[in-house]
Amino acid sequence: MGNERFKLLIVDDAEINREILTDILSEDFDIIEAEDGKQALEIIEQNLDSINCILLDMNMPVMNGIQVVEEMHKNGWLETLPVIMISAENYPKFIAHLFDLGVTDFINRPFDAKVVHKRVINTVLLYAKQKNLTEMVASQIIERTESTDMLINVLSHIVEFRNGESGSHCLNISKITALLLRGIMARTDEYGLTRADIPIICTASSLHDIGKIAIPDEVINKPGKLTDEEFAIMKSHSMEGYKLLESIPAGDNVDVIRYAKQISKSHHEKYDGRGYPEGLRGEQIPIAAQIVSIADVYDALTSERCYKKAFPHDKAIEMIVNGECGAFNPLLLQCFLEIAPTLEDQLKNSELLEKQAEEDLQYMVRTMLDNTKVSDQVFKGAN
Amino acid sequence: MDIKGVYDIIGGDYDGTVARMCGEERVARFIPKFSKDPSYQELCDSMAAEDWDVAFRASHTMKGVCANFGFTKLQQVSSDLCETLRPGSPNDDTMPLFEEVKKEYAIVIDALEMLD
Repeated sequence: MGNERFKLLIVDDAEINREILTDILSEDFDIIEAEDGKQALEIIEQNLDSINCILLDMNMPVMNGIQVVEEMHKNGWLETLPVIMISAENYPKFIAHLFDLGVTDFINRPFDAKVVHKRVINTVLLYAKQKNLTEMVASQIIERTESTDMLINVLSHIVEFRNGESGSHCLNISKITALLLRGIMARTDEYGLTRADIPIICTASSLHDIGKIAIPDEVINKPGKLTDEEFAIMKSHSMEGYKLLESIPAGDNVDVIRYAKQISKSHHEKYDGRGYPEGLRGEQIPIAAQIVSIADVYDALTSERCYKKAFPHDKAIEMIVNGECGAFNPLLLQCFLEIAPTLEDQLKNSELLEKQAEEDLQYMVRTMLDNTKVSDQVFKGAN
Repeated sequence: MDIKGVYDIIGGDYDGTVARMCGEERVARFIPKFSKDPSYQELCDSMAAEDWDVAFRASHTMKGVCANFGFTKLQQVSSDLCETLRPGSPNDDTMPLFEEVKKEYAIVIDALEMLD
């Protein structure tokens, strides 16, 4: 806030009433005036972030105070912008209705100048403190999430480094996962995914190969074709990853770990049941694992490995679509084909993806904070 | 005439108003503006036009303004008139109360003109 003054909107059709309130409050506040409800709503909409409190008369021409409050309630503005009604109206029915809608306080005419002054200051400070605290908590959560992501990146880098992978494998998978999640969410809500899940699943995707830590060097880095026995060992990495994550105390309380367990265990399952380790089929395979699976296949195809050269982008798409890398969920393939034309560019030049990731993270935090609000249900006495 | 004299003539609450407004200075600054408030004229026009919604609102505004100034008598009759109009149409008390409002309003305006 700095030294910026708080801003009040005074809404009253009688000029003399506005003048008296302005006289009482202008020493401490910047004042905007409106002479009816319609004008007030226009001003509120344009200054939603800068107005700190509204003093609202009840009976006005064009649009009255009750209609203003109903409109603000509908738009969700009362959550962050307090309204104090000032009126000679003493009809209990109206007053109860206004409180139900979310009006903060009610001041009757004739009012006491000191009381008005004090109540406005109290209300403004209360909301300002809550706003500051919310912002502080949000930035703390973002900071913490980012450092968790960093640690998980370190872990996945260790795995990649040991595998002789490029170092950008997990990063690419995370980006493709985000793109596919957005695509699938636009097409169906059958998986119950929300935008707040995107950052979590993307972070968890980096742990898909964590189980490779349990695979011996000579198998992991063998340049030629693996023997059947070696391939069996290699394939155990998905179950090993699951077991490793499963052994983390209270890991199931953490969303990232819950998703990482699904992903590490099932990212080599195929939609037709011919994958491993469990031979899951169709929607038995958790959606997060299905998505990471296709992302993993694409990035593996287009990267050079100790046992293969990199395929060009178009060839990789062709192989995935033709089923040369196993069967995928048809809806997911649709999403993949949709992002395919720009995928190469997006992975190389990922400013847009990073911006989206940041917005998703902020959305996730806002959702968390909304869900932790003190519920109205706590207070039952009023009814 | 001083401000207290005005309140004596019109049957207003001088002490209460000065206390609520935190001093006579603010009262002195604002009561000369009372006669410029258009609610009374609006009330008269809407009563003549039988526009009861506007008459309700105008009498309601007068009630509020008078309450702030501690013009107790005019506040009371405005409030009574306002309540007869709340259902959206007048009743038998409406016209007599409107006459009362006119009488009390005239007393207030006359008194305010005698202010020093």
